[in-house]
Amino acid sequence: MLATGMDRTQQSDVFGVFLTIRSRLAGLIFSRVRDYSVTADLVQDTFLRLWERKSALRDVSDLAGYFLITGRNLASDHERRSRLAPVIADIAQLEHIADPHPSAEQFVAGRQELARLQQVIDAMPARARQVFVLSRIDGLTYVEIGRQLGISPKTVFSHMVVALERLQAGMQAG
Amino acid sequence: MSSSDDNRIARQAAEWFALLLDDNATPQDLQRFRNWLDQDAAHVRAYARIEQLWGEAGVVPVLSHQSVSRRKLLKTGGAAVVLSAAGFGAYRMIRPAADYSTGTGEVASFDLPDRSRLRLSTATAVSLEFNAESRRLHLFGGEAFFEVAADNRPFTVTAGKLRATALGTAFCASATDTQAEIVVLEHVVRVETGARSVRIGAGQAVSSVGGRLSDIHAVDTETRLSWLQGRLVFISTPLSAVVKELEKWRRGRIIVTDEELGRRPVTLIFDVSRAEFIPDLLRQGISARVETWTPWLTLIRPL
Repeated sequence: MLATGMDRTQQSDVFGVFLTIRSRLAGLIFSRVRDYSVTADLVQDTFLRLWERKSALRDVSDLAGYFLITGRNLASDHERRSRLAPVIADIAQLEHIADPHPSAEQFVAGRQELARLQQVIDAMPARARQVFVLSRIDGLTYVEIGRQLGISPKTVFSHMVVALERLQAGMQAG
Repeated sequence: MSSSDDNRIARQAAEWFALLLDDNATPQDLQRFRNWLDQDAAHVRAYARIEQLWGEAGVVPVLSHQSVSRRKLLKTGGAAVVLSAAGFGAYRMIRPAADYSTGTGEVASFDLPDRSRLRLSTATAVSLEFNAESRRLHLFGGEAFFEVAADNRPFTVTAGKLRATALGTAFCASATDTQAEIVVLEHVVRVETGARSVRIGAGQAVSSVGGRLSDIHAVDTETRLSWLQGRLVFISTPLSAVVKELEKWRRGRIIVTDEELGRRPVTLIFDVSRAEFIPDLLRQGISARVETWTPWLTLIRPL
């Protein structure tokens, strides 16, 4: 009996898709952060995040979409952190948040933690979940979310607070 | 601290995060946020925790598509071992004596007489000695991957001071002048050096440096053996280690001029069939100055 070669696995998908959309991804990120060095970092972070989860990505049909979504989310996180940096840069425990070149490692959660995260999100009240996903995954502003759901931005904010509370409570150690 | 305090702080942290998420925060908001952070270290922790969860949630939807067919390969019952052995100088000396070999930047695969399969990474040489009782191979240098066909005769690979015996398995071996390593992709391999003998299983590796056997450790085999896919994958690997590996694939030196830069973890992927473009890829992939002085010398310097 011969062993099956590694070439029969799907590893190449994550990498192959990354190569095909790499320049698009870089363009998307650059259009937000306007800095080549930050763009290079975020492109790598994007790849790293999906690579670390490659076994969970085997059956995903739109890998390119995940790359672009993840890249855009990282870029918007970077923007937001840059805005906050002047306020929090000197607080030791938040240094990594203010850092304009965050390393991806700090976010690389274990597979189990991610599965739990998914459960916690699934268990959120429906409106809170919608708001959370539209903001976190689709990158919409509160105004845009409000328009889509037919509620005011202030109500969107309230649902977001609920979502974040559930997130913290659900992900507490244990 | 009471749990009601915890809940209150969690709620406040959620409110601050939700407020600051939307770019409409005023300078007064930011000042109040700062005051709140300064009030209590627990506030800082709660805020940092939300930030962390928010970051993790950025790729969460992939999990709803979880595959059950994870690593089908590992269930097929074959096994893989990686052995890495001697350095380039030694390799050039012994190459004429080897039955199977590759040059710099080449990869190759061969079917062995017992229907096992041999795959060679760059600058690798392997000799073969099969008879009625045993299947012996010797890795002179480089890195080789073995998919072992079932047979009554033991399948043994020597690399440096290590001897690996496949117990119905696929594995990889690598060797340099000073170090040899066995990586097992599937099943179990017995590794011996001197009087010591250990059994290592799928996803594990063991190495010998200067004749001493390391502890058995876990490896990400897909990354470690990425050359089988025609590429080199480095995940958060110190730049100096990446460069050392890349130098095996391409003639010419790559020198990192700064120690601190050399320690910086980088994540890079290279197509092994395009080794001549390695400096260009480095230039695109890391925040450093990559200067190609001649085709034989590339310098990497801090920006």
